Amino acid sequence: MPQNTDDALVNEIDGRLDDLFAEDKTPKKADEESSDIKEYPLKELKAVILSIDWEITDDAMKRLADQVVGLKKRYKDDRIVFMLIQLLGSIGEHIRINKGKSHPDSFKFLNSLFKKLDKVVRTKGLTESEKKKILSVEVNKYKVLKDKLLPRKPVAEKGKQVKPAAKAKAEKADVLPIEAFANAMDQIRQLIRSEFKALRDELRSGKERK
Amino acid sequence: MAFINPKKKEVQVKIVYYGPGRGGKTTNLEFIYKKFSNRVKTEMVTIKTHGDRTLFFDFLPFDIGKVNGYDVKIQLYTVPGQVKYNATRRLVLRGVDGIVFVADSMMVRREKNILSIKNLQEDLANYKKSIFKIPLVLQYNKVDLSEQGIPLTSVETLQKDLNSQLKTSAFEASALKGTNVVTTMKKIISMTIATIVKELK
Repeated sequence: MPQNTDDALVNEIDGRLDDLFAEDKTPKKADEESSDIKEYPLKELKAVILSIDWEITDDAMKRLADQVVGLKKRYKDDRIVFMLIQLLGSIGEHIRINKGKSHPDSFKFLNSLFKKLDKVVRTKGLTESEKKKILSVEVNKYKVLKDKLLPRKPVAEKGKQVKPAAKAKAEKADVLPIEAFANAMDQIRQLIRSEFKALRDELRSGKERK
Repeated sequence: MAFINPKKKEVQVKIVYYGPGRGGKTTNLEFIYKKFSNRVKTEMVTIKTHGDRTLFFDFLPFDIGKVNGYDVKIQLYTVPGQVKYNATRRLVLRGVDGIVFVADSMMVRREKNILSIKNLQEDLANYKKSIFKIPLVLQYNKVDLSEQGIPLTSVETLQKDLNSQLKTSAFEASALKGTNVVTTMKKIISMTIATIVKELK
């Protein structure tokens, strides 16, 4: 590369970069957000979600569960916030049970839920319909994730029947892992069912109130 | 040393964003790509895995035009921060010209930062490069979290932990909000090109 003085070169590079990347300051998106950060009610929840993002420990999962309980009490009269917290608790439970083996989308969903919860709690002037829209998007994501979590029923293939003796042998060998897996799946299934029932009831009671 | 093609009058500069896992390396590149995609006119390549973590690397190439008659092509890379990807991290560092060390300002990550910068020193030594000689900029990321009351390591402590011997440029930043992301990048590009020219003298 031809040589000039160092200063001239640095100036030239800086000039190039300034042209290409002018305007470093990003306008804050949070213009509609409440500036009352000192009383930010999701502070602890955010800290614990960041911790889980880093490492899933029993302590972090317990803190998450505690936060969910506390926030549910706090927002018991705010239906939409309450339901978002309920979803958060539900996916938190899935992660607590499965830890590192949780479905990859469950972490994305946890973060997405927190972002939406944060938006609903902090943004002043959000209309009820805007909040409902946010909730409905998250409920749909929950449904999609639920479908991924539920095991598919095995389809019996013709001509591939397992001989009873071989079957019994295989069952004997796998009895513990299969049982443990089935138990875990049952727990998840029950949890999802109960969450959905609660959500449906809430939505129904909301419509009736109107 | 950067890849130089005298026939084409072209210089390729490789800059790697290094640091502990979940520190914001990918977020730095994503911010640059999203904000300036109409200007850099290239695609960002990213390979992610389980839970959205960087498995291999992110790669963002762009041209900054002619400097001293040479077309300068910048290639920004990130390494996977997680400890278990040591081999991949080393591989990405091959042929590196400049480094941005993205430290996580959260108090709970203090030790991870120290460990990571030690790893960087070892990884560079593997390629017979010195952390004290290679162009290096430190970025103390996630300062925005203080607004939410999350405990952060003070800049003084970070400087003491990471920069007491290196004595290089350091910026407080928020990759998520874009604060000082471009300033960091401009600084490392400028330092790296100046070093390449010096080496060529």
